[in-house]
Amino acid sequence: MEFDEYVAVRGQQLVRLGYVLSGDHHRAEDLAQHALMNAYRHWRRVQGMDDPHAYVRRILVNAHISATRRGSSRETPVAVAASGHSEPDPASALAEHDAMWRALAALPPRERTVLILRYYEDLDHASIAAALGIKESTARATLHRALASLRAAHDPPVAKGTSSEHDRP
Amino acid sequence: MTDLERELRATLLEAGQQALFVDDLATRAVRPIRRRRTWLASSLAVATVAAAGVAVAVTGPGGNENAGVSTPSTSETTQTLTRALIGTWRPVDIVGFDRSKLSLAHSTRAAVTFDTNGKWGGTDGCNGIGGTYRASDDGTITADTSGAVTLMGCDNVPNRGVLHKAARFTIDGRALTFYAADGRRLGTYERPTGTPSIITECPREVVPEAFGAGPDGAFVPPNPTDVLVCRYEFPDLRLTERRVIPRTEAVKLAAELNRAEGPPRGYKCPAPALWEAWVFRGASQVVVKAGWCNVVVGQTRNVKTPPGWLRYP
Repeated sequence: MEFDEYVAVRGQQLVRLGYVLSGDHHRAEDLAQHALMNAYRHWRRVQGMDDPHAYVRRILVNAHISATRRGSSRETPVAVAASGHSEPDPASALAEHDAMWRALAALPPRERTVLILRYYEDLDHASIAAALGIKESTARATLHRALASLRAAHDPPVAKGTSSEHDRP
Repeated sequence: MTDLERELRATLLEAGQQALFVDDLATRAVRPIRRRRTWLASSLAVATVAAAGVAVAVTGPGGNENAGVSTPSTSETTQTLTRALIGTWRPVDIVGFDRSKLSLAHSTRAAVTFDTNGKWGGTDGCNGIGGTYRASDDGTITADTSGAVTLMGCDNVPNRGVLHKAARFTIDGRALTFYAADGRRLGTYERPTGTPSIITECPREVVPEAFGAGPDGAFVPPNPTDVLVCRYEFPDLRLTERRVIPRTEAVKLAAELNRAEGPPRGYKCPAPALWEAWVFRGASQVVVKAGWCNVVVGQTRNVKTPPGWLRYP
C-alpha cells in the first residue's frame, strides 16, 4: 500500500482517534499529522509490516501520552478544560452535558487511553499492550482499574446495570 | 459487556464523529507546514458546531434503533439535491476573484467538501477551512463559516466568502453554483476530474431496517442472483470499486450471513474510511448491506451506516 493510499483510507480515522484522545480538534490534526509524518519517513519499512496501521496508531497514541506528560494545557481533555484551558473548544459545551465524557476525561491519561483503545478502537488486550509498549498483563490490569475508576466516577444508575454479554478478551 | 461499557463505547463513538474532516493529511505529512492558528469562532458558535454533530450509532441497552444519521434539514423522502451536493467541488469561477489565479499551483488545491454530517470543509489553497451547513432540496443553503481557520497568506481562493454569503445553490450536471440572498451569482464549482458525477447501479443509500432479521429470520434474501459489492470512500461516498459475486457464491454468502448470529468478533467500529454496500439482487427485496460498523446489543444487531444513507428505493 502506497502512502497516499494509506492516508486516504486511514487518515481520517487517525484524526478521529486523535480527537477522542485529546478532545481538541487542532490537537487531533496535529497528532494525526505527527503520526503520518513519522510513518512517511520510514514508509518503505512500515508498508512491509503486517499491520502498518497499528504502527502508525502507536505513534499517535504515544505522542498523545508524551504530550500529556509534558503537562501542556492543550492536551487537557475538554471536559476538564475549565481549569486553565484558554481556547474555546468545539466539544466543550457538548461534553459538559455528557457525564460519561466528563468521567472519562477525569481519568489519568494512561487509563483513559487504554479505555479508548479498548472501546473505541476495539483492540484486545494484546493489541493495547502493543500500542502502548507495555505488557499484556499490565494492559489488562490498567483496563480493569480504569473501568473501576470510571464506574466509581460515573452516575450510579448507569454503573449498576449489567447484561449477560461478556467482555471480549 | 456491561451497561457502563456500552455507554462508554457510545460516548466514544459520538466523540469520534465530532472530529473535523481533514482533507490534506497526506500533503501535510509529506510537506509539513507550520501553521499559525487563530480561533475566529466564538465559544457559542463552536458549541453549535459540536451540538450539530451526528447521532450516536449505538443504541442503548436493549434498544432497537437503527444507527445512522441524516443530513441536516433533509428527510428520507427529499434528498435528491442535497445528496448531489455531497462530496468535493473545485472552484472554476468566483465572482470578484481573478479567474486566472485559479490555475496557480496552490489554487488548484482549493476545494470545498460537503459531508453527510452537515459539515463542510476544504481549503482556500493555503489554509484549511470548514464549518457546518444546512441544505435543503429546495436549493436553500446556509453555511456556518465561523469555524477555526489557519491564516496563511496567498491568493486565497474565497471559498469561505462564497459560502458565507450563499443562500441558494443549484446543481446542473457537474456544475454547482451558489447565489446570494438577492440572487447574485457568487461562484461556480465543478467536480474534480475523475469523480463520477452519477453512480449507477451502486446505491448511495441503504435501508438499515433491512439488516435486522425478517419474519423468516433471514438477514438477507436467501437466493440472490448475484451480489453487487460496491466500495465507497468515506465521507465523499466516492465509488472506488465495484465487483459482482456470481450466483453460486452469492447464495453461499447469503446462507452464511443468515446463519451468522453476528459479526465474527462482534465489532468493527469505528467505521473505516471505506464502506462497502452489498446489494443482494434477484430477490423479492433488494437489500443493501453497508459494511463494517456492526454493534451487537443484546440480541439485536445494529448497523452503523454512512451518514445520510437512509433509504434505498
